[in-house]
Amino acid sequence: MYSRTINGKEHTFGVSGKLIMNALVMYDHQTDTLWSQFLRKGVRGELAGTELEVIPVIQTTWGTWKELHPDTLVLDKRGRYSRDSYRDYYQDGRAGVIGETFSDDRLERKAMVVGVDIAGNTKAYPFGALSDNPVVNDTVGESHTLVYFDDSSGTALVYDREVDGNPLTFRLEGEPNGILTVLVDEETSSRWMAFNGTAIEGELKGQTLDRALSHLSFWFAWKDWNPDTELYSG
Amino acid sequence: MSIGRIVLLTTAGFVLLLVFVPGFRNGVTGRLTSLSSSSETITVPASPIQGSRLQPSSDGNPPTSVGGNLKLITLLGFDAIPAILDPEFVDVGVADTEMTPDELVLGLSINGESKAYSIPMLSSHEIVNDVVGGVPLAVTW
Repeated sequence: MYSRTINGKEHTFGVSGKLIMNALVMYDHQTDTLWSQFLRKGVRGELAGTELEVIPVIQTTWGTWKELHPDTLVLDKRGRYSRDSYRDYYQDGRAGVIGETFSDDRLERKAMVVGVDIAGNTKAYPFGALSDNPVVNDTVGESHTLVYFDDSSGTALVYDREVDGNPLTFRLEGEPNGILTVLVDEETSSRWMAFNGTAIEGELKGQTLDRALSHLSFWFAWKDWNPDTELYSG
Repeated sequence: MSIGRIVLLTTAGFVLLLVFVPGFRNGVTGRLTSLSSSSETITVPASPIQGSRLQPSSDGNPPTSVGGNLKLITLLGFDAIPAILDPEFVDVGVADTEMTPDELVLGLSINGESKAYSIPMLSSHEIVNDVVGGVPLAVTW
């Protein structure tokens, strides 16, 4: 998700029909600048070089989302789109429309990863490894990150685990329990809701962890865009 | 209709098949390069990264994102995949009649307003121009 406010003005976006390394290139109707989804910036035209402001989003299942937000509005499908046009593509071994830039067999091409990008330091967390280790306290560049993965819905959330300048170390409280999953930090024993990063009990009650910049991707695309990426292996 | 326009439409239809009917792509991937109406190299300037969550790099300068040369490939015309400009919404009750619990969605909450976007629907439109909690934003897939 990106803010449509650029240099103080609202813009609207369309699909350019162009790709950079298999990823969406948008254009805006006001200046015809081309924008790369993966780079989060203008790549050609009047606003080339301008960054888009990223707005954190969750990819999850409909069942999980409506539990989290019973009052949610939903984009009207008008009885269509029962089948995802990319469904087969998600499953097979092909790398986009134009193939991958280089090969890296540390993971299957189509393995899903959540990629973290902190000031140019990148690290990928495969869903497979997160399935075994749903809570990962890690360091990317100089930032302390927390990755939480809900296996039942395939939801990956990345937080900055620093509160008031001090890194916290999290663990699961009991077993994962969907949106009710609770994490506990070792430093203060406060209890946190895993799905929204808010402390519900203890010394830090009321604090909310910031989301870190992250991106769900197939492995082949993530490493094409971030050839220096680290890879979490569990 | 001119011959040129017929050729153009046919090509567009073919490329759409490649993009939207993945099985059709198997046998023709090798020809795709010649089908692409153009491919060009663009130079993208590095630029300061905005956003409070990002820290300065170790040399003390503002962090910069990737710049450099990238290959820009044209597969379709502008708006061949129609972005949504005037999204319409339903409540949970109506959505439940159209979606199963395991359908994937993108969801976000801003200033107390929550919205969900079906990923199978996003696959057909790629971009939704919306306003959530008063914030104009683009949902992209």
